[in-house]
Amino acid sequence: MTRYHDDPGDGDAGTALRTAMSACVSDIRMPASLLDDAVSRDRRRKTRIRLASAAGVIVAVAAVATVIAAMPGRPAGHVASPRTGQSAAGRPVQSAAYVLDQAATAQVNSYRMISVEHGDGLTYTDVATQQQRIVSALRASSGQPYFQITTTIDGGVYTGTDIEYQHHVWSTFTASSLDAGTQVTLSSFLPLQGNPNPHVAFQQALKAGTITVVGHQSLNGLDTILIRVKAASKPGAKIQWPPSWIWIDASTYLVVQTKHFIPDLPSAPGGKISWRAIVNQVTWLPPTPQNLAQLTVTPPAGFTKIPYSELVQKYLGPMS
Amino acid sequence: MPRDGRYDGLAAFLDARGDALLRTAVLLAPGREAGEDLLQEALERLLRKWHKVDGNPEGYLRRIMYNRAVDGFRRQARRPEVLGLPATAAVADHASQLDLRLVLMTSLELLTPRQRAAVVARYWEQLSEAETAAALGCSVSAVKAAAARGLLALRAAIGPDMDFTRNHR
Repeated sequence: MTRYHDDPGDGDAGTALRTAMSACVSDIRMPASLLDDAVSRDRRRKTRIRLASAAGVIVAVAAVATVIAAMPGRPAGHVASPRTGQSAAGRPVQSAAYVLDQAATAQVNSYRMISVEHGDGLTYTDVATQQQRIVSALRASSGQPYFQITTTIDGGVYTGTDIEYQHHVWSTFTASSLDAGTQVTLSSFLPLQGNPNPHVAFQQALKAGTITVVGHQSLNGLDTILIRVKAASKPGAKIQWPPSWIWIDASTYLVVQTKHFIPDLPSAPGGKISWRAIVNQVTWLPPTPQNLAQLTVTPPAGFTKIPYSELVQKYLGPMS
Repeated sequence: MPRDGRYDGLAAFLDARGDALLRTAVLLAPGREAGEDLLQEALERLLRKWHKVDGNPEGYLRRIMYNRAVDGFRRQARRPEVLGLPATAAVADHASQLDLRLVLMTSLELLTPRQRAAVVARYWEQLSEAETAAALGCSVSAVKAAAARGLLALRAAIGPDMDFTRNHR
C-alpha cells in the first residue's frame, strides 16, 4: 500500500495523535515465540477438525436418539426452573441466576423502548427505530445546549446531523451503514448492553465470577437490585480497573442507574492514579409519537450549514 | 521460529516486519496482550493460506488484522486492557511512559471498533481514505465518517490540542 508522507488532512491534531501513537508503541518488539505459537495453534486446530469429523458420526447417532425421545407420547425431560423461595421478611428469595435471567429478558424488551441517560448531558436512544440524539450539558451563551448530535440508520444509510448553537452552524453527513459487510447498529452505551444473546452472556459471566448480584438496595425510594461487574484483570497488568455498579429496578429489571470509573492521571510522573466515579441515571420511555419526537432535531432557521470536517475541526473539537 | 522449514520465508519476513505489524495490532486491539493475540490470530489465518500468498504477506496480514479488529475481535473482552510496560523495555521514564499509554489506550477504548480502525489506518499508518476503505472493506464515505467521529471523540476526551501527556480531567 502507498504511504502518504503528508498529513492525512486533519492538521495538528492528526500529527499530535500520530506522535503520541509513535511514542506509545515505539519500544514494542514482536516476541520471537509468536510465530511458533501461531503454528502450534494452527496444528491444534487441524487436529480438532479431524477429531470433530470423527465425532460427527457419534453425534448424529445421539441426535437421532434425542429426536425419538422427544416424540409425542413420551415424557418430556425435566427443565429446571429458577430457584425462588420466601425469605423470613416475606420478600421472594431470588438466586443470582434468576435475577440475571430476568435482567436479560428486560434488556431484550428494552430494545422496543427509548432509553434516556442522564449524566454529562442527555442521550436518547431508540434501538428499534435506530435513532439517537445527544444533548450536551455544556451551554452556549444563549442558554441553549452547546451542541446536539443526532444519528439515524435507515435503509443501509448512516446519517449524522450535528448542530452547534454557539456559532449557529450545523452539518450533516451520510455513509454506508455496512461495515466490512456487517450491518452497524445503534445501541445504548449502558453496561451489559449489546450482547447478541444476553441470557447466555449473563449466565456465563455469572459462572466466571465477572458479574455478582449484590442484593436489594433502596435508590431514592425505589427497590433496586445492585449488580457488580468486575473488571477483567490481565496477568502482570500494572493497573486494576475498579468494578462497575449497576442498579436495576427490582420489579421491571430495567437498568435505572450505572456507576463506572475513569482514571484521573497523576500530574507528575510516578504519582498515584485516582479514580473518578461517573454516575448516570437511566429512565425509559414508551415509543409514543411524542417520545419518538425527542430523537430528532431540526437546525434552527438562520443557522449556517458548513462542511462536516469544518464543523469537527473548528467548532466541536476545540469546544472540549 | 518453526523448525520444519515450511515457513522459512515467513520467519524472515516477520524478522523484518514483525515489530511494525505488532505496533499496529497493539493500537487496533488496543493493548499489548490483545495486540499480540490479534497478530497471532492473523498469522494463523495466514498459515492456512501461506502456499497461496504470492509476494505480499504484509498486505494480507494487515487486511486480516483490520477486518478482525472491526468485525468483533474485541467482542469477547469485557473491560479495556491497560497497556502495561514491556518487561525488557529500555524506557527512560517508566512512569511517564505508563501515563502516556494509559491515556492513549483509554482514549482509543472510547471509540467504536470501526472508528478506532479508521483512526489507526489514517493517522498511524497514514493510508489514504481509499486505501483505508479497501483495508476495512467499506466505502470511502464510511471511512470519512468513522475517522471524523473518532477524532471528535478523541478531542473530546483529550482536549483540542491532543496533548496526551497532560493530566486530563
